[in-house]
Amino acid sequence: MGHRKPSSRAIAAAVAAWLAIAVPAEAQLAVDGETVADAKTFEAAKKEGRLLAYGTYPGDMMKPILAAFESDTGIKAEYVRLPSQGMYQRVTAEFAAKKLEADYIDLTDLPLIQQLINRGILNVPHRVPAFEQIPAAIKDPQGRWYAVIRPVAVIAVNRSRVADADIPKSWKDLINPKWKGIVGTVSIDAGGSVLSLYSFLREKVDPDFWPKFAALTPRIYPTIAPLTTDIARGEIALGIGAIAEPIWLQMKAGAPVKVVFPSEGIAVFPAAGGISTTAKNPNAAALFLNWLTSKRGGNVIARGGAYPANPGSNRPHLEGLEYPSVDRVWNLQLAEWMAERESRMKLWRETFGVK
Amino acid sequence: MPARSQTASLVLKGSISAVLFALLGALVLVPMAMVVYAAFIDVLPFSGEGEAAWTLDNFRAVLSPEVGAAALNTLVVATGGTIVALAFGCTMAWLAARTDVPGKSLVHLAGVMPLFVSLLVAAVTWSLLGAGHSGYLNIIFRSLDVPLRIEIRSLAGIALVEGIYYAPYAYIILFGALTLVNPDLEEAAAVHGATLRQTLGIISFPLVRPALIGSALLIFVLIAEDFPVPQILGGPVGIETLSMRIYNMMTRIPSYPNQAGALSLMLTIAVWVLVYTQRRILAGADYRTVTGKGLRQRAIELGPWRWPATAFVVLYALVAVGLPMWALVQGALRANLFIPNAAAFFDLSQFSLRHVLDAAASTAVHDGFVNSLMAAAATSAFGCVFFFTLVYAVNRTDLPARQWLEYIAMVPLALPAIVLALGVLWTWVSLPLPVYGSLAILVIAFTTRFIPQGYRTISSAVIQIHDDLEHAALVAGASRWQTIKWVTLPLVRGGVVAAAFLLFVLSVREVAASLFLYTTKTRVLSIVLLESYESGLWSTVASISLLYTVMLVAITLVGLRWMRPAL
Repeated sequence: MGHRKPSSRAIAAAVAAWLAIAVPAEAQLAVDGETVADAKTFEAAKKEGRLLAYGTYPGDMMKPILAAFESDTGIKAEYVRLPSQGMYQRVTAEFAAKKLEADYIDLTDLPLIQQLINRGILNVPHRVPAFEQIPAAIKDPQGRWYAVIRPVAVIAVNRSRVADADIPKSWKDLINPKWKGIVGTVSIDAGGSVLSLYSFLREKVDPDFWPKFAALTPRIYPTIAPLTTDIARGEIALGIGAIAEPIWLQMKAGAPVKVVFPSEGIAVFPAAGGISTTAKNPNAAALFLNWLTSKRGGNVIARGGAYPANPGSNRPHLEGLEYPSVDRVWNLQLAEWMAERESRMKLWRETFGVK
Repeated sequence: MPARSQTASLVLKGSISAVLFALLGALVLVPMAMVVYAAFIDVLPFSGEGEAAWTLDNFRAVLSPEVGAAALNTLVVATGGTIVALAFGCTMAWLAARTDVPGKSLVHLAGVMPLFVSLLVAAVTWSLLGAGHSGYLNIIFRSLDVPLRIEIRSLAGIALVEGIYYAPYAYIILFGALTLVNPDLEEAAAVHGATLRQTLGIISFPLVRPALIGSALLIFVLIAEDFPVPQILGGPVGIETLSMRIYNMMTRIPSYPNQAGALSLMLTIAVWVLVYTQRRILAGADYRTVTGKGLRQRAIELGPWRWPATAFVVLYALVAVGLPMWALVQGALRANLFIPNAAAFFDLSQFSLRHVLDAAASTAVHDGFVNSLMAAAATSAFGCVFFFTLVYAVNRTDLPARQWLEYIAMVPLALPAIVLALGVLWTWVSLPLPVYGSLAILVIAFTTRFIPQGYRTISSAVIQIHDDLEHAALVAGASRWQTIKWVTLPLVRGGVVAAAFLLFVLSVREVAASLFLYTTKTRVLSIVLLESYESGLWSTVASISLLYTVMLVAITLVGLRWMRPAL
């Protein structure tokens, strides 16, 4: 881990604090010259001392992010992870029973986030310091949620089954009879990641991508885990989905696999998070949101291979992979998501023969 | 008997009955009622989703041709799996309980070991072993020029894997029952010239018919309800079962928990019919062979059949335990999942202990271990006391409406784990008791989920004990409690210990029931496992599985001597 030592960060914070003109006795939180929280929020958050986050990003990937947050702020972060639908059911049931303890909640499905807002569960407008820099498409205009972590969907190839010359360079290269029966995808029932990817393929690559791809009778996996296993060991030749990180881990461990960022660009999907209305530690939650959307927090997120919300942060980086710049990255937006979700999922199931 | 003591005894009976019904009601009926309610309304219950209106649409929506196809697949898998499980489980149990087969502890270990592996891990392991192109077995066949390819991702493959992993249920229940068959009866058959096969067919297995039918029913329903195996093996090749359908209804976005409730309710009714039929089949016959006459355990001498029997045990151990364990070791020690040829299985340069050591040193794994062990031990202890009481009440007393206790106890069998988990969440999150968010809620969920398994295991043993032994004690002046303590319990110790063990192992590996209920402080091992799996960290999953298999083997070997009844 390339963490800076706390001492140098403490010095940087001290210098930044000293440079600020209106410095009261209490210090704001600044990292590398960037203000993450004003003194009032930071002090209150420190007093709370802890944070309980309910999230959808895999626990192992979240670990370095929470560790960096903890070392920057001194606030202890606990994390409960569930897939979006399970998290939604748990959050709504806990809220209805007045037992929702989460300070921060994120989901990878924007309409579900909207429902949490409508129900008053995730209804704390909060303007993070980086508010103006964050594109409108990936935040709530009132700051009730931000797409804090945006993992990518890619093509992954097993080179023992695909000659180097045949490795697809674009999404369009996937539409080729030679992949019939040996290409895999995740089912649209897996959630926002797959819906985002397939919306992108239809809108940005080819309006007929779905039927053309379905004609190759791809294997349809319930989640990314078995898809990754089958690509890594060569049971299938290639696959598409939010599998860049686990495939990269296999590549680093010596498996003959490759992650391809296709030439048409890539789709990302949002882990969209905000402050819980019932937060016991609302200031810590606000600080967490500030930090996640800051340049510094974004850099930590990028090191795990996902795009952060802050456009000033580094491009995602996993050793040996060249991520496209942020302007080649496509998001499914809330309005379209709300309007099209049901019909699009129905159409997908019909096209791919999944009932 | 004087009238006053009769009234007192009626009051006592009534209150015992009330306590048992109240406990079962809280554990089973209330969550079930939540699911029933969800099946008949049009919004997600207990989520503040607005006014609920009554409807039958959920039932109409699930009655589709796809559900019919899924039901057919389920029937094929469950029937095939039950046959496989009974064939392996019964043979192994008979060998271990009644014969002089060599190496009994190993037979016993092989009989229960498939239970240690979580079904999620088992499914992935078998997909690694038996996938058509890159399965380990197919790689080996290819290198040896054997013109044989297996494809585990098929209906037959799913049935086989289910059968292997549910065989321990048949083993444990039949083992308990067979140790209680009076050898005098078998000896009498032998004296009259019956061959070994005739003795088995006419005496031994008919005598354990309750255990046989009970375990067949249990296994059939559990396989029908099982989710990870068909999902991982069948999902990628387009095979769908009812359990997968229900799971998808629950986890899809948008989800259809009301329809899932409706489908679960229909399954529950089907299971009730099965339980009722089972009672009818067993009613009227007397299976009690352990009587006041005394019982000396003698092993049947296999003679020349010793070695074929040993070969069978070795073959079973290889398929059920050896191959999956080998795949787990490969998974835990290899750097990556890609295996170009058979030689690579032995290429030591590919191996490292890093993942196993990392897993052993991880605080998440430690905490998960501690939480899992505590929850499992508590479930096991509470479960055994409660289930024994239930079984005793149903079979040995004249408590009012006692057979209903058994019907209620079988309800969780029919509820798919994820539906039950949501029912438990809805129930306990809204109760003003400080259990939600603690380990206690996990113990409650595990106990609820495993009532049928625990109850069946204990009841199979109790049914075989003739009540003349207990009557003798009562007539000789012992109190009811003394009779249970000195007569009944020692006789059914095997069944109770088997149930304790089963509850412990099942609780450690249970995923679905923990999913909605764990917190950062009560994260159990199965959740750590699931998270690693979902992040694509197969080596971590394999390492943790290996570590806890080693732990469970140790527990089994220690516990082995308690599993025989004290005769």
